[in-house]
Amino acid sequence: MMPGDNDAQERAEIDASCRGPVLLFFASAVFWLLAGTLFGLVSSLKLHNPYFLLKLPFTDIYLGALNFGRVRPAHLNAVAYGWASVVGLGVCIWLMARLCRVRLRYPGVVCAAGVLWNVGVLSGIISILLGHGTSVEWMEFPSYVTFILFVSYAMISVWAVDMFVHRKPGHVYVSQWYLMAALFWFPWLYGTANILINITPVQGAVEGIVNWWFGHNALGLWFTPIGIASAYYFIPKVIGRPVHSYYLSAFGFWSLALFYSWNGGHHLIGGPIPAWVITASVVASIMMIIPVVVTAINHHMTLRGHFEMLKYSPTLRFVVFGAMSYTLASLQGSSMAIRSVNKITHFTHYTIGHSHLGLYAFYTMIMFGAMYYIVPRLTGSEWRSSVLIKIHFWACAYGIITMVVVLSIGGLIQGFMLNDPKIPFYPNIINATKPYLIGRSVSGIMLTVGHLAFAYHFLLMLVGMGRDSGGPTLFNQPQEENS
Amino acid sequence: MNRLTTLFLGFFVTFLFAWLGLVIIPLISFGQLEPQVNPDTGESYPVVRSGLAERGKQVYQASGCIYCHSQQVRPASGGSDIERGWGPRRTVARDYMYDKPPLLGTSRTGPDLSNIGHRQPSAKWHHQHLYAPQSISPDSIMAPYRYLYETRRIQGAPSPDALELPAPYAPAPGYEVVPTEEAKALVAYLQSLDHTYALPEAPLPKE
Amino acid sequence: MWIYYTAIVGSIILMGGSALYAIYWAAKGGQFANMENGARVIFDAGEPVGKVTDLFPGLDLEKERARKEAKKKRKI
Repeated sequence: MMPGDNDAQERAEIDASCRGPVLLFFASAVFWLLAGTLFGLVSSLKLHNPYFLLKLPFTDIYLGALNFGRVRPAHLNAVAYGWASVVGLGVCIWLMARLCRVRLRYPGVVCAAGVLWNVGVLSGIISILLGHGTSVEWMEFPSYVTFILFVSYAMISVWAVDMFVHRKPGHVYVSQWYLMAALFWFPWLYGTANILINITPVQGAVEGIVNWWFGHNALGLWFTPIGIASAYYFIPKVIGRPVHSYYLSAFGFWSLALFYSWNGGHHLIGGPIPAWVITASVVASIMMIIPVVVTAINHHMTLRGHFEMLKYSPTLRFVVFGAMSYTLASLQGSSMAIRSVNKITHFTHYTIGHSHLGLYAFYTMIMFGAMYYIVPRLTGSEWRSSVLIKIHFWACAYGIITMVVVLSIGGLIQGFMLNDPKIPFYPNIINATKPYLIGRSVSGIMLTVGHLAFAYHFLLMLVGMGRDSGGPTLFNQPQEENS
Repeated sequence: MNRLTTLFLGFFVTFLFAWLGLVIIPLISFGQLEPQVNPDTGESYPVVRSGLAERGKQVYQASGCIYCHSQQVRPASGGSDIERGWGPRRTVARDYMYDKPPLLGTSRTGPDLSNIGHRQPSAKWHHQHLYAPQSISPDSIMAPYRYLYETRRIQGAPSPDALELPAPYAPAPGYEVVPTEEAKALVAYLQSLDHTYALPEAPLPKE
Repeated sequence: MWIYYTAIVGSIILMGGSALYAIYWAAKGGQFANMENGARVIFDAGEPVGKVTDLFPGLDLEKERARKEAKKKRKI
């Protein structure tokens, strides 16, 4: 018996307990990633080619479901509630099990919840395409869908929290703070927003604030903590080196908790709400520089001297790309909250570039990295092809960089022109931004290629066509008593 | 306190702080606004929309117009919205008191529509623009909302609602394009978008 | 109306104050004393500090590094 065998056995049993739910969540998430990518690509093409896919192919039937005004929110909701939330929940369950060193209890319930979540998202997307979307950004699903998602969420989060309550004694790791926080905050956010906007709607200006308090916090208090929790686990775990400064982790966490939730009003600068709300949000947005820089320093110092590993580990590549994008996206966001900058960037494609820098370059890339680490440990086999992994990485890396660059440049041009009243909206501003919209479609094609490569590779793993590792294994099967 | 309680309290308090500040205080301080009533004429602002226009707002929502059009005029210090002719003054909270939800928008792929009813009151223009934006603005990237219109055979006399369309967009001879009830409602809504009245907190600039 | 404002602003001040007290209490009670040990919690005897736990499939890290060293030596 080797000294690490008991630990390996324990790890393997914990992984095995999560296998069903986490793989189900990952499979659903990848499906919604593909659906969301398709909606996104179609939306992007329609924006510079308005007659693209206006009719059912080979017919003369114009369908509302094919219009930009419906495909675009279908994209947002598919990627936010279908891909991002589901892969996040999968990663959260696995990380929580590993860090608490306990098995997931009642995985069947969590699986059922996963199916229910998918039913909710599917109904929601269909509702949007049929014209029953609410047209409240980030909350386009009709109320009955949010009710379904709530029930599903309760069924999942209760077992995640249960693992934490029954955790093995010892220190609570930074990732666990972020995950517990996210699990606690999300229902409060989603519940408040749904009640005040969809169920018992309040007056317009207040709905506007609640909408963007929710929208921003969905990113800042739900997705961001899951992404950062993953980065804090996978970076040290892959390279075999503890986080550089645990003090900084604690400080970064509490300053994020304190400041992030006040940011929402920065989406409404210049809008019909009192100046004090906007000012509070602008101040909080600038204060966010503190936790962001602290986290960046921590990750950088942990990686220092080990950057070579980016060549050798898929997980590290994706997670570090994501972590660096987090810093960039957040600093960009803080700058966009400054009124003089906002005067130019508000309402432009620059904002769309920023949101993709956050939700894709940061969050999605980290989730890809997490999946590359977790899936082999659940299926018991290695990823089959380095080539597919590299196609995935480079197509997505170049794709998202292209998207952010073209939308930022196009958005700034749009913003400067919008602020010059002598420049007519039509045709000048339209024609000036069109080339950048075409550039975005090109980047969308790159991302589609990357996603297809990943989805195919993941499917191979699911059907048992992964590679059996001949060399040093990086994961273990639960073994019989006598090895 | 054990770890879970400490953590939980921390999450709770930090979140509560912003929830009170961004949700509850706004709800209390400007969540029960009253309209401005002119004591002489009895007119009340903002104007309550007609049933057709209110139905049209739902069509606007079902059609996803907010994803390209905003409905908020920024103050002169915040952008050139007023100079551009999108409104004589900035829009304020009371302008949206009846809008549940307010269709503020976050994107100006197309122009701001807060005062489109004042800027472009012609229903005919709106119908043609919705059916075929490129027939009015050839370089426009706006999606044609063809599904809100019906192309049908002319029965007897042409319908008074029929759209007059230039060459490549006109239907085949013997056919006419008429708006559905939804299209009529949508245009009624667009015509109702007018915040050019003065409010004490948002006076009109002196001529 | 004013009673709502007083209550809310009052509770915000109370919360800020208790947050500061909580940090003081935590520091006094030694919560921040042995923090660096917390960073090691993710390692165990089987996956100790220093062990790489993710590689491209089929990659032999030692061989790769040796190959790169040899390449560098040939260039010099």
